[in-house]
Formats: sequence, C-alpha cells, structure tokens
Amino acid sequence: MESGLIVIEEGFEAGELAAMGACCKSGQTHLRT
Amino acid sequence: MPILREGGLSPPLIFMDFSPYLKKFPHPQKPGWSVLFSGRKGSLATLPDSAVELLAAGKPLADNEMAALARMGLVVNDPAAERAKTLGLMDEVNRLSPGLSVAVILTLDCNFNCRYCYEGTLKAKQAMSETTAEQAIAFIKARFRPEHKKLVLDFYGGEPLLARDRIKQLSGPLKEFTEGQGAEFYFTLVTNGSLLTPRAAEELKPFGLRVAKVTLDGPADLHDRSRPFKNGKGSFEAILRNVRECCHLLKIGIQGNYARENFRRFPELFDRLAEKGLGPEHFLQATFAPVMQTKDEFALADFNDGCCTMSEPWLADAAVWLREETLKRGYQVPKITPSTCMVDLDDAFTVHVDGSLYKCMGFIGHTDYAVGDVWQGMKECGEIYNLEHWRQNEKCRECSYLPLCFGGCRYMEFQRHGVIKGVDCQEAFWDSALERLIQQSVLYPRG
Repeated sequence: MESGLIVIEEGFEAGELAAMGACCKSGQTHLRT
Repeated sequence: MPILREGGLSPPLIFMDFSPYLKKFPHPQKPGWSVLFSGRKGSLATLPDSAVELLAAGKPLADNEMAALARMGLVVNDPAAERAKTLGLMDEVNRLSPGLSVAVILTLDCNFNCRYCYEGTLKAKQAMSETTAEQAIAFIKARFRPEHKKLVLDFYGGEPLLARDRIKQLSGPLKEFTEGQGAEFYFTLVTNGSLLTPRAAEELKPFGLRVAKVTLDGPADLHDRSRPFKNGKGSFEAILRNVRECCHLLKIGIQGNYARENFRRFPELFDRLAEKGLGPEHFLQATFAPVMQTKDEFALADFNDGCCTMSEPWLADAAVWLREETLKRGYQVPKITPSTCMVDLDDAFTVHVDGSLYKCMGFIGHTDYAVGDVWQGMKECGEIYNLEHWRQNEKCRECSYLPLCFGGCRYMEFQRHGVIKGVDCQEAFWDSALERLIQQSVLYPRG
C-alpha cells in the first residue's frame, strides 16, 4: 500500500547540472546564483 | 538502518539506506509529514512521518515509492558508493559539459559610482582593444570542441554597454562560427541597466543577445544611495524605464546586492515595479546576494559594510527572508542545487580586458591568478586556484552539505586571507538556512 509520497522536485543528473552552467557562490558576479 | 528487500527486483536482494546527503525537515504546512531533500540531486519530496519511520526501521514502502526515492537519490543501495559518486560529481559534470562558457570583460569603465563596487580602483578608462578582441575570437574558436553544442558569452565590465561595438565585433563572428558548427550561440549582459535602451537591445539581438542581468538594490532611495551615476544623480528611474521598455524584447533578470542595514527594505522594489506595470511575468528571475567586503589592493577605502563570509549569522536570516519575500510575490528564484562554480568547470573561463585569462571574474587584475592569455593559451590552473581543495579536506569529504558547497567560494576565501589557502566552509550558513529554504521550496514549488 502506498504511503502518500509526493514528489516536488525530481532532482538533477550531472548532465543537467552541466547544461545549467556555472553558478556563483558569492553572488557578486551575477552569473547563475 | 538498511532496508532488506526480497522479490523480483534485480538484483533480488537490495539494501536501501538513507543517502548521506539526505536532509529531513518538518513539513511547513502538514503536521505529521516530513520533507526529504537530497543535496546531491537537488531532489525534494514529502512523506508522512509514519512512512519515514518505516524507512528508518528498515522496512520498505510500496515498490513504486521505493523506486522514486531511489531515483531521486533520497535512498541509496550503498552510502559509500553515494559518497564516491558525490566526490566524482564535478568530474562527471565536466565530462558531460555541453559547451563553452566565457565571461568577457569588455571595459573597466563605468558610468556609475557604486559605493561598494568590488572592482574598486581597478575600474579605469581601459577597454578591450580591437586587436585583443580579434585574438580572443581566435582563442575561443580554438577552445570550442566538435562535441560542443553551445557557446555562451557573458559580457561584463565595468559597464559592458559602454562597449557595444566590441560586443558586436566579438559576437558576430563567434555566432557565425558556432552556428556553422551546428551549435547554439547566445550571449548575456551583466549590466547596470542605464544604457539598456530598446534601441540597444534591438541592435544587439541579431548578434545573439538573449538575457540581461540588471542590478537593482531595493527601492529608489536605497538604490540611488548605493548605485548613483558618476555625477551623483540617482539611476533608479532610468533603469526602471529601460526595463519596462525592454522586457518584451529580451529576458531580464533582476539582481540586487544587500547589506545588513538595508535588506529589509528590498521587497519595496517589487512594489515600485508593480506601480510601473511590471510583475514576475516580465522577468526571468529575481535574486539577491550580500554585498562583498573586499580587502584587496583595489578595495574602496570608505566602504566597510560588506561581508566576506557566509557564516555571519544575520546573513542566513537575510537570505531566507528575502527569498521568501521574492517567492511570495510570484517571482522565480534559483533552485537549491549542487553548486558548479566556474573555477571548477573545465569549459568556463574569463577573458580580461587586456586578453589575460582568469578562472573567475572576481580575480581579474590579480595577476597571480591569471592563467595565461589569449595569445599564449591557458595554462594549468589547479595549483593557482587550489582546485579540489575540498577533496583533500577530511571534513568536506564527510560533510552532508558537500554537494551544495564543494569548498565554498574561493573569492571570499581570497578576500579574507589574501590567498586561497583552504576551503571556505559554509556549514554554518547551511545549518541555519537550509531547513527554511527547503520549506520554501515546498510552499512555493518555483523555488
């Protein structure tokens, strides 16, 4: 019997992260943050 | 506790355990429910607490639910293998890189006099020459491999729209070259927005302009205090006029830089935008970051309100609060995903105004961090940027936040210590912020 799992975000494979490009950890450069 | 499964699955016996990167938080709206998040995958699900307790006791849920939890990296066959996969994630991202991403510093000149500019005294009347741009084109073409599917340029400054001719000189031939290879080309602008007129946008669109990232630091009085024109006049109204006239021509992202004493007023920006008829549907996303406190040779002497660590306690509260205020108003914000800093990406680099190459635009002008130039090519940068410093750090290797952080920000580390001597640990930030950020992602699934 199912417990009621609700998926909100499937998550990302490495290829999808690669396609997103660089992010900026400080936010200063205004690349993807 | 591992879950022992028997039955027709292959292999017939599967041991499932919680991922070492799983975070479990209370559901923000439903008592008796939990939110599960995987830092390695950026996946998110909700479950009744009773089901979480079953999993913790080693008892499986329904087959389709176990399959979903496994696919999302929330439960794993082998936690040690999951750790190994995370340690290799950046290698995998590099292996699967779809293309080249190049930031180009077109000019160090700017028509603004921002009180906190991290480029500081580096800013000058120095622009990329035609000869350097020609060599940059040749260098970028040589770096573009046959398997690449796209080339993305991020034009940067100073103010890049002071160098429109150079944008066209670079993007024209690179667009033709890239599309000639059957690949995609586009460019973005990181701009103060004051010169982003419809005429400029229309002029640059045929060359590949797709996105402009415009900085707005809250409502007019705050913004104009932080980001005035060089003559001291406010820039807010000019930017809003341009944004309103250009938002149908290209995608515009709002960026803003806040400080401890002013972040609470930043959401007033959305009210001012609404008064001009602008809402979330007109923007790609809105995102805010703390103002950096630079301490390097270019630092502005009279600015001391920034920070160069994510560990300051107020910062987690500010980041969470601003993100929530942004989401509440219907704007898109970046999702919480594994972090891929351009320093770690083999196919990402910065071309400085003089043709020198850097792995992050934060380091331009710090010649110890140059990794070659467009004439001689790029040299090995592992030692200079302390690549994979997190891999050598035992605490990082064991840290459940590793995929969200990968050693933090080298530029912050550099500003604190003058060198990149170790990792920029962001554990305190994630300890304080992650639960609330993930709960926001449940309440507002765009986030």
